[in-house]
Amino acid sequence: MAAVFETEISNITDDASPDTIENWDSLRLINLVAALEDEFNIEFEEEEIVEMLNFKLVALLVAEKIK
Amino acid sequence: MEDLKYFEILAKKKELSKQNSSSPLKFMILSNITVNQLTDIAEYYLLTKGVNVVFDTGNYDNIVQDIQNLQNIDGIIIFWEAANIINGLHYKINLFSDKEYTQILEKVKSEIDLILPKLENIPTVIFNEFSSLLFNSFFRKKNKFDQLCDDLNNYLIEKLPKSVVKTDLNKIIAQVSVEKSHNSRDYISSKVLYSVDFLKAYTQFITPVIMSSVGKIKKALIFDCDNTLWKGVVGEDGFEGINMSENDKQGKPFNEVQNLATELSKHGVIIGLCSKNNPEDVDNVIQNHSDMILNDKYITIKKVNWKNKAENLREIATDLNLGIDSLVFVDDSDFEINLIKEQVPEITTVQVPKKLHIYPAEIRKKFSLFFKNVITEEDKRKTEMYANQVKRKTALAKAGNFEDYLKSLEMFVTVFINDKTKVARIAQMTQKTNQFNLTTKRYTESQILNFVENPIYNIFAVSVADKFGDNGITGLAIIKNNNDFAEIDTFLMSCRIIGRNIEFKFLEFIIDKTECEIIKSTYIKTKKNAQTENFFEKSGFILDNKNDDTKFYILQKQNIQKQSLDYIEISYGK
Repeated sequence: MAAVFETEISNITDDASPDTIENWDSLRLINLVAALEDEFNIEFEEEEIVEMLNFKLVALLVAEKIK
Repeated sequence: MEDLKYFEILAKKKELSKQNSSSPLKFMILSNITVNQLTDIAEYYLLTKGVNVVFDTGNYDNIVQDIQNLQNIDGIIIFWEAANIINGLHYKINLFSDKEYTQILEKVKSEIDLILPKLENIPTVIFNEFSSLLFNSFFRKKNKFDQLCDDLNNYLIEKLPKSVVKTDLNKIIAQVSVEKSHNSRDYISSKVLYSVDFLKAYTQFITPVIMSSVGKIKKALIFDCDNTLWKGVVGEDGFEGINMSENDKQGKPFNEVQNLATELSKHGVIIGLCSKNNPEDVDNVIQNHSDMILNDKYITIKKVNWKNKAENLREIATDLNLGIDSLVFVDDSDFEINLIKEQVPEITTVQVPKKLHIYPAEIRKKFSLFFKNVITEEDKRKTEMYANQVKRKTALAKAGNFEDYLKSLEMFVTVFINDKTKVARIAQMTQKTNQFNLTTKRYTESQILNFVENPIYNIFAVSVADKFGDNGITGLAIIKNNNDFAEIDTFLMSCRIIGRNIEFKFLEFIIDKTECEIIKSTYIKTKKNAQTENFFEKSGFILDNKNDDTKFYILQKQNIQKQSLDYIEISYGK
């Protein structure tokens, strides 16, 4: 996730969000989704992508999918 | 790269860019869709090829305006998606009246017209052809959307300058599949039309264009003989026992490979043999076997002996004055392939697959390594010219004394000054010449044309002939005449004519023709041009200043140190 947003891993806290990470914009979010789908062989619904508001929510969504 | 996940690509790109300290080329992706994932993928893949390129994306759906504002750019990629010319065009257009159809077609044509003048001044332009395939693959009949793409592509054929490299997206979609290329979810939400899988394949498809623009292409394809050019072992199975017949299932793949090699030879790729055999056995097959396609006309160099193949391949590179990394070697044997991989890892190797029916496809895959953006007359004659070079080396071995040998060549150098008909070849030389190139400045055809037309510049191109044949245009100097001094902006010679003192004769000639009394020059060090490091010193230039990579020289015209090179004749051509 740090790689997608070109930031330090230490910046990726549970609360990390577009407000705390400079490069977290809508385009990079698409890149993050592509990377996660690729990595875990999962597929997100449009509604789920809209819910990816901070790192914790992203992690929960992924955890849900790979269960 | 196909197997790498997007995260891995990001991580590896970071690693590689730390290791590569060269100053990056600047490319811009202009599009009317969102393709920002392409930047990471393409940057990563080119870094694995040793080329440092930074990709930037233009403003969304702003192709025409963005092009007008480009400056200092090494290349652009244009994604002009027909489906998004207006929102939803791919389905709306089929409800259009003829008048509406013509309006939209003319609109895009006029926008293409607007960008044309700019395209000529950008060194590398990759222009994707219009494609309807992602949306129309299920329709049996051509519809208006297909028609629009056809009409626009025909317009591109008519209008685009030949320096622009068109890219047929349908070929990439065919590799990936329509379903896996199309990112319908993100297209609807964010205009991200293409999947990561497509963008990986796209990157691989355009990489040869970028490699060619930086002069990193393979130049020679070297074959083993037994079970590589024909089925069987000539030394054991005999002349009659080997097989390369197009009418036999055993021989057919070899027949096809020989045809492919011949085709490459006709496009200027050097074809050679490196085989452990008795030379007379192999020559007999090449000259007398009725199924042999790849004959002596297309084979430039042969190392048929019982020596170590690593040694033979190194000799081939030396004989042809090529970098060892510009060789591709094909052999059937595990032993030989591993030997080369270990001892000369710079050489790209291809092992003849066990399943012979895929052998021709393996060779076709390698065509991209030899890809050249523009093919010139010199390329077409290259096989012949390199063959003459090999003859010269053989003559040298016989002559013994090098000076005597050079005299015996009867060299004749013809100089063309500011000759418009030579612009394509001149630009190509600036892009491709690495070894004997003092400043390694790369220029496009349009830049060269500007120099030719600008009275401040003089462009000298030389063609070199000797008793073995004509080498064509193989040397170049670009002189900029400032008010009180002249400056050698570029001085380069093709590797196939260096080592014959022509470079000194040529330099003396242009200095003689220069009107200024003071001449300045520079040597800019690269990884490949070490042999020219002291070239200017040898001709009497005085080192004026230097920093890490660059030496600056100055010369009073009368102080040029002429060598006695009476055996080379030089004069202006008509």
